[in-house]
Amino acid sequence: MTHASAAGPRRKKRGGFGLIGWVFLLPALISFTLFKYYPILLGVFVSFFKVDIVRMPGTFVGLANYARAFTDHFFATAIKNNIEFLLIGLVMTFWTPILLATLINEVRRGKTILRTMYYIPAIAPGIAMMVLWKFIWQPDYGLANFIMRTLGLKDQLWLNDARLVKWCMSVPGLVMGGGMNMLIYLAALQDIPEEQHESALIDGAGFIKRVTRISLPQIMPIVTTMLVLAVISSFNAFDNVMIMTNGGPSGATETIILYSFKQAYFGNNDYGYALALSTMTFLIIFALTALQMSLDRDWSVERMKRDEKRRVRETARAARIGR
Amino acid sequence: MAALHPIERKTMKGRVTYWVIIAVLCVGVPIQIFPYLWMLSGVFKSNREIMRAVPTLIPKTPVFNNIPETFAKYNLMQNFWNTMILCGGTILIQCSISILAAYSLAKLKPRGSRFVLLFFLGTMMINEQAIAIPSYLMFNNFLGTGLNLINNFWSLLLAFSAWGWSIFLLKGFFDGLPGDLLESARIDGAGPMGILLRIVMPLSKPVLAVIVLNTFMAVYNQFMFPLILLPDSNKYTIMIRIYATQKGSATWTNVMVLLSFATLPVLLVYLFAQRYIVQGISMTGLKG
Repeated sequence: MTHASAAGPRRKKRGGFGLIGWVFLLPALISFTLFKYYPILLGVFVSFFKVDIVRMPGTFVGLANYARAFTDHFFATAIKNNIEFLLIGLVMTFWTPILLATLINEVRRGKTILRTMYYIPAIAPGIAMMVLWKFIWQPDYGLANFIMRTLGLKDQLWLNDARLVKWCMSVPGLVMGGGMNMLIYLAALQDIPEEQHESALIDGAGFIKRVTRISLPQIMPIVTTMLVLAVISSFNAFDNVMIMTNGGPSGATETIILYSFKQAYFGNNDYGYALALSTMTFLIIFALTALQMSLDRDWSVERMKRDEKRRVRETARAARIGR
Repeated sequence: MAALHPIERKTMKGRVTYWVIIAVLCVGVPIQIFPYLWMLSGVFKSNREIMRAVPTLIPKTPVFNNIPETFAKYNLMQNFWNTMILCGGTILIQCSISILAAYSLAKLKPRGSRFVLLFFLGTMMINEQAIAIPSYLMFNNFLGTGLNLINNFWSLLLAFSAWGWSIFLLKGFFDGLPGDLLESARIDGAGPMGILLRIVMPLSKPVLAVIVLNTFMAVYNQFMFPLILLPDSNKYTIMIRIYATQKGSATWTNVMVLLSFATLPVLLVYLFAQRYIVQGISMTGLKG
């Protein structure tokens, strides 16, 4: 009795907004349930069916769609392509923003201008840039072959060459992802306290040594996060292959998602098989994202709280003084 | 902070290092910008000149009718308005939903709401590529009501209404708002909605700007969902129009006009709101 009366008023004070709190949450709860959780579950559900779009879901076939995937050599090629895209991306585009951020971080005057110059190209719509690069790689009158000829080298087929196509496709990523990721690394680099570099300098460490021994280890958490993100986005590859090559030449750029998409559309209408493929991709990505979020949480939340708390405190103070 | 110390720059070695870095960076800038100049020069080339084996950066005989021709040929303004409807609608719906939810999670804290945050954040593990086709199946016969929302803007507006990233960001910001400020407003008799509109929102302008701009960019650049959910050419967004020209009878001059036109809005938005976009990226490395 005494216990209840002691808890009663306190709960009333804390939970006074209880009901209205749930009312505020309701639209989001509905929207996330219907448009995120329901589709993913629907996808898993439908992957066990031979889908009839008029009479959903169609005929139950158990694991047949999954069994088919394991004997489908196109699917095996798609997985291989995804992994190759990832590896080429690591060689071509992963380390460049780190280097760029390290260099820009050293600039004393005109840092903002340089940062903007490197970032602006990255804000252009990705789709537009892919098409532009398709034009540059065009074998007959594209810029790439003109440069090859000027240098006295042989013309290449670029996007039509199964050996070169993945490399060509990762070049636009140097500009597109480069600017974005550079900003993230730059933010991390700017957080490193000056004293650490100073004491290393007094110990006689050279410039390169200071960068590799102090700056890099400090930004390692964010590098790891970006690595996981790179793996995720390479498994999600769709836009670039759909637009630049449509999976060609001879299946050299067919990714899992593109292959799954083609099963559902272009007159195939095999939604069950398409979703069995994308469900498998989802499981891989789900695991990777879980890993990434556990890595990223600490870093970004810490940083955000620090930055915003300061600003909010100042704004709040100003608001109070104003009144 | 920078690894190169100010004192070090007074020495010969430090000065050389510094200027090598500057030189490398300055060489990179034209390489970054060049593709854009290339795109822009294509806008003013004739169909014959754009396909020459020896290309020119500055068109020999500049042509200006590519722009009106492309706009007429593809009904670009309609594509533009379609995109704007989707961007504007998503900003209204998605941001309102997110603000209400984040405010409730951060300040109202109804009992049991701790798990709700996980429920929202959990969706960040769902890749859009995996839910695109199921979303098509869902909107084809919306919730079994026989309502077909394919080729209807509502399908996209609804699909984009859930974005874990913005709730995550807003909640982090609202958490930092001083509780006593809200408490005193509450004692003055303001209800939760009044506090949200009159105190929380004005204080949150920076983070709201980040959310609105990033939503705009995300919807503007979206490809897979409009491709699947809006297959009718009257409902094309700019990005889908660009894709469609890749399989049609478009000349490269048409394409260059299209690409420049598609880049212009984001460039303008960026120039006016650079600060907020950059903040959005450095606040959370994580998006999507």
